[in-house]
Amino acid sequence: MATVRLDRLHKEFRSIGGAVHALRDLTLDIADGEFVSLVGPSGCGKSTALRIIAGLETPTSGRVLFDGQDITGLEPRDRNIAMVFQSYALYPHMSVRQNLEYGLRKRGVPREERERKVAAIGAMLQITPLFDRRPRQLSGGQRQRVALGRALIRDPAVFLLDEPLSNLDAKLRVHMRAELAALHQKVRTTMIYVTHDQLEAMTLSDRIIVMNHGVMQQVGTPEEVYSRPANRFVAEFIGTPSMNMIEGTLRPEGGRLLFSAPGITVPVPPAAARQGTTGQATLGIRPEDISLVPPGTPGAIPAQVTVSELAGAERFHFIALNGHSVIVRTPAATVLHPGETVALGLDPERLHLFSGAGEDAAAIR
Amino acid sequence: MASDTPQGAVRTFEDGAVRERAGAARTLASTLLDRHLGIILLLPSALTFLVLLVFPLAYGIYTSFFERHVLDPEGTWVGLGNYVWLFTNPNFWHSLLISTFWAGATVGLQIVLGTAVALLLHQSFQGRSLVRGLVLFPYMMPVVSVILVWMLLYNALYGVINYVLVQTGIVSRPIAWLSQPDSAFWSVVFVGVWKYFPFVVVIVLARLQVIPQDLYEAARIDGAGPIARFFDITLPQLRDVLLVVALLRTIFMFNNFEIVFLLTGGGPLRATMTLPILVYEQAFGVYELGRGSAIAVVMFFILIAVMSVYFAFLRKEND
Ligand SMILES: Nc1ncnc2c1ncn2[C@@H]1O[C@H](COP(=O)(O)OP(=O)(O)OP(=O)(O)O)[C@@H](O)[C@H]1O
Ligand SMILES: [Mg+2]
Repeated sequence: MATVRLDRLHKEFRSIGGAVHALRDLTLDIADGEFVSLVGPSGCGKSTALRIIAGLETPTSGRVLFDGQDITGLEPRDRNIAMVFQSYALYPHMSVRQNLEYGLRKRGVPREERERKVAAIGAMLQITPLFDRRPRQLSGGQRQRVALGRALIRDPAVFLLDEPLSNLDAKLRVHMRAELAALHQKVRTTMIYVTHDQLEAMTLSDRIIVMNHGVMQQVGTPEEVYSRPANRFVAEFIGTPSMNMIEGTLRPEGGRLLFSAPGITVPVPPAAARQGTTGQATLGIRPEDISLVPPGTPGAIPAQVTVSELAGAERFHFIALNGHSVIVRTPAATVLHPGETVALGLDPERLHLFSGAGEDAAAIR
Repeated sequence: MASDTPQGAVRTFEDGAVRERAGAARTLASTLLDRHLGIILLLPSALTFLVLLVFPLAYGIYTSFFERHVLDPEGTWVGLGNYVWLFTNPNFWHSLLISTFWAGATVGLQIVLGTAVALLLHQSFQGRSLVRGLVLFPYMMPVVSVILVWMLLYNALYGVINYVLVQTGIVSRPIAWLSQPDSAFWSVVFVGVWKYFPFVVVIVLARLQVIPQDLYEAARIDGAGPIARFFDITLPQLRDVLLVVALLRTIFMFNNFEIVFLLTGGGPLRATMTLPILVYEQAFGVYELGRGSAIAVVMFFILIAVMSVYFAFLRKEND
């Protein structure tokens, strides 16, 4: 068990083609026993951050501290970490048992203790019947469990997982996600989890770190990142289908601040208006925060249905709104037909406003 | 499932017969094609195989039952006479021993040297591609040029090796590398290793490049140092490819003729007289074609035996 502190981590990969800034100025404190997820699109530097914590990569500058101790220069084996790789990286020529005990063996753990620990891990992850098999004789889910076991067996202070579920099929992924959550409840080790699947991050984590282009965009509980995204990138990245974005301008009118785009004018909530930002802005609203209202309701916005998709218990309606396209989420029972005219109501409490139009447009609150 | 296909085929054929009775006559040629299409398609390659592989082999075995030489080009049947001569001839046993040592030493050293060089070339350093190309040089050089170069290097009077050894005071007098039994064998082995180790380098290097990097990273996290990583990851990953290379090189080196023959002709005092050179000596030196063939046949069966042991071993491993 350990706290982890990342102190202004910076990583640059230099090659003949030029330099890639994989990480910029990453500073983060992770509490003992906390489960944090690093999420972000492909290439945003998640794995790089994890590999620096593991000691597989050296940062260009910055420090990694475990329990307040600087371990930036230590070899992976001296850091008391364990890692689960996306490919599992099980040793192909060793049996499951040998895979599990390899780390203990290399650390000179005596035989009886090794056997005891292997038996305990086998029972915990229900892989005892597989002990004499080779990795290639296992299914994806079984491999995944062995990889977890190999990491857990050493009782690491910090547990690093790099997209451990991404090679599994959808159903198994949901199952293993639940198992991982249960596992964390049981062992209470600090876990740092990399994924590009925001649903995994939302369901598993105490806190989520959203990254883009090597830069940390927001840190917060799943609830915070979902309902109070710090900028337009986070707003669009978290949530499926992603948040609707309408670009327009903010202007004062009659003592109030109004957001307006072609065909849409909405009053800005007082808290946000108090900041006094004007000019170019983006309005964000989640698909579930748009409602279908009876025509003629004050403030309703007329629009036309383009397509409706049934997604099991709910329906996603693609709706054209004066040149913008928004997605509205309703229960499956709400049936709309292409071409139909509807009236949309926006919940003013649930509007998100961003100053500007770029990815990094900050939220106005 | 697999048994469905032939039955289905038979049924189709019967259907054809029924239709024939109904008046739709089918030519004999198309019936033949239907029934024997597979065989017909295989025939060209089967025949080529027969002519190019089986015939020379069978003819070699056949010849080994005759006494044939310049005075008797037609040959006289001697049955197993050539084999009796062979197995009672100390020169044959001597050559078998030399051949075994030659194949064992060259293959063993090629694999060790080849693997070591491949591991070096797998590291990243400046000018790696250039060095990778240069390493292939001995393998691409024609044997005759290789021999000429090494004859010059080994030469007792003006060879570079002796010059360096004498100049640096390691030896006081030049060594006649190729004309003393002990040094001749190892000098020849050295050239055999030098010429063919790049083959091992190429294959091992190709295998090294596809070993997943994360295995090494997992091992690093598990606490394995560089040496443990070599024995626990690299070597087990190379194992299969090394076994195949060992088999291929053994067959090749056991049959290799030109390197030894051109360097020493089998001498001095038969110290490098491998079986292929013995075959040559019998067949073209003293024109005993039957005896030469008999030796070649024995060599063939020795290799068959080696391969059987090898494949039996592999099968046991895979279970
Ligand atoms: N060894 C390397 N050499 C050069 N560039 C690298 C290296 N490793 C990573 N990069 C670059 O650094 C950036 C971040 O890579 P990283 O692997 O951390 O992304 P990621 O967020 O894990 O993406 P993914 O979700 O696809 O795994 C990428 O632009 C990548 O191309
Ligand atoms: Mg990654």
